[in-house]
Amino acid sequence: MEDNLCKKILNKLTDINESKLTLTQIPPEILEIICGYLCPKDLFSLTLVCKKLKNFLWSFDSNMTQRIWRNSRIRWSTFVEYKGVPPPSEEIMSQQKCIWLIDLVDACQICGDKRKDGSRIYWPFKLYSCKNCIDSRVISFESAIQKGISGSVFYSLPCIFLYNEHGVDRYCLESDVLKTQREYESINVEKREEWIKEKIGDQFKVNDLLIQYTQREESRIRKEKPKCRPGRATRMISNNYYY
Amino acid sequence: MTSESSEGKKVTLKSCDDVEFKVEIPVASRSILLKNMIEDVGETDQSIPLPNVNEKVLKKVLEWCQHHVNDPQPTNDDDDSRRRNTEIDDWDQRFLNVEQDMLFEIILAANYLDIKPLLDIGCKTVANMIKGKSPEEIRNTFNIVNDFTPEEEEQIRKENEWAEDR
Repeated sequence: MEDNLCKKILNKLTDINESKLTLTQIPPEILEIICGYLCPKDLFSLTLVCKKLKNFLWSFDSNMTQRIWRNSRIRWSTFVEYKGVPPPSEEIMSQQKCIWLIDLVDACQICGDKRKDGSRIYWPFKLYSCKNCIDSRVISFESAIQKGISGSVFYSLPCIFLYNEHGVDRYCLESDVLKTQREYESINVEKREEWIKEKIGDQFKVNDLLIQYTQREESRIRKEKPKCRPGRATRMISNNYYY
Repeated sequence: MTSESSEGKKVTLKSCDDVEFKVEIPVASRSILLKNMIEDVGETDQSIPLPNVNEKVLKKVLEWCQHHVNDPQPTNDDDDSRRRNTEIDDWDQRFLNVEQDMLFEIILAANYLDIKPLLDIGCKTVANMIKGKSPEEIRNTFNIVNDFTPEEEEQIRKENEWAEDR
């Protein structure tokens, strides 16, 4: 199909009366080569140019698009020390999102605070946030149950582990919990358990991938004793579930 | 086919607008498409038609091939090292200092004729025109119309910031 498109465009070239050729009229495989020379920030700008470029660059399931972002991240990451760091897993998030979290976000995504020392990436939530905002938006199992949340709903959601007076506890985002509880209740009683079981299974797999990722990255970063700036470095190093 | 054995021998290329170019085989062989064709067909007086390239573009592309006739053929291995390097040498820079539609036509022709180094410097040139620019500046550079409605634009900007409602 791409071949056809290419031919069609090339044929157009032979017609002198055709409008002038520009960036939006070239075949995708050439656009991919051009994007290969662009850093993630340039790719984000390109996304905002017009619909055609947005459709091309803002796809989360096209192999070509994901390849473009992945290559850009690896080749052009502004943080040289993290060149080649894989995203947690392609099953967990798109390349675009991963790049955004690692390289581009510079303020807490909830309150906009730019102080770097207190903020970090919470990979399970795909969120860069400061400690205050996270603390005020998560809910423990116990509090969730008190609010009438079903236990299985709680266990079907992305979570982090935080220290509290009892030791370490599992926390989910309250907004996720409330939303999923509503969904759960809207499902026919007979089908509910099956639905939530599947959700728990999926989340279990994601947790597994995240644990593997954080352990691998932490040991790699410790081994390399990175020469990176402290603010950013902590964002990667403290990827573990225990915040 | 080594360049020695084909010394002085020529091949005739015909552009889509029926203009013929007599070209030395090593020059034409910068194009992998032509190189393979010449090797397959052997010596021939017949011209090779290039239905996708017009006279103006073919002339320009052959000028590049002539200048780079003695460059080593690129291998696949150095794909990534080429990609990392965004430098373009002076001659190539002057060569590509053309009208924008000509630049894209050269890129398409290089793609069709399979001349990787030319395709690469063409794409690098376009990338350099994008680097560091805002979306609006990119639109101006390439004469692209902003076809987003204000609402869509706002929506994308939001999406782009991953400003999820928490």
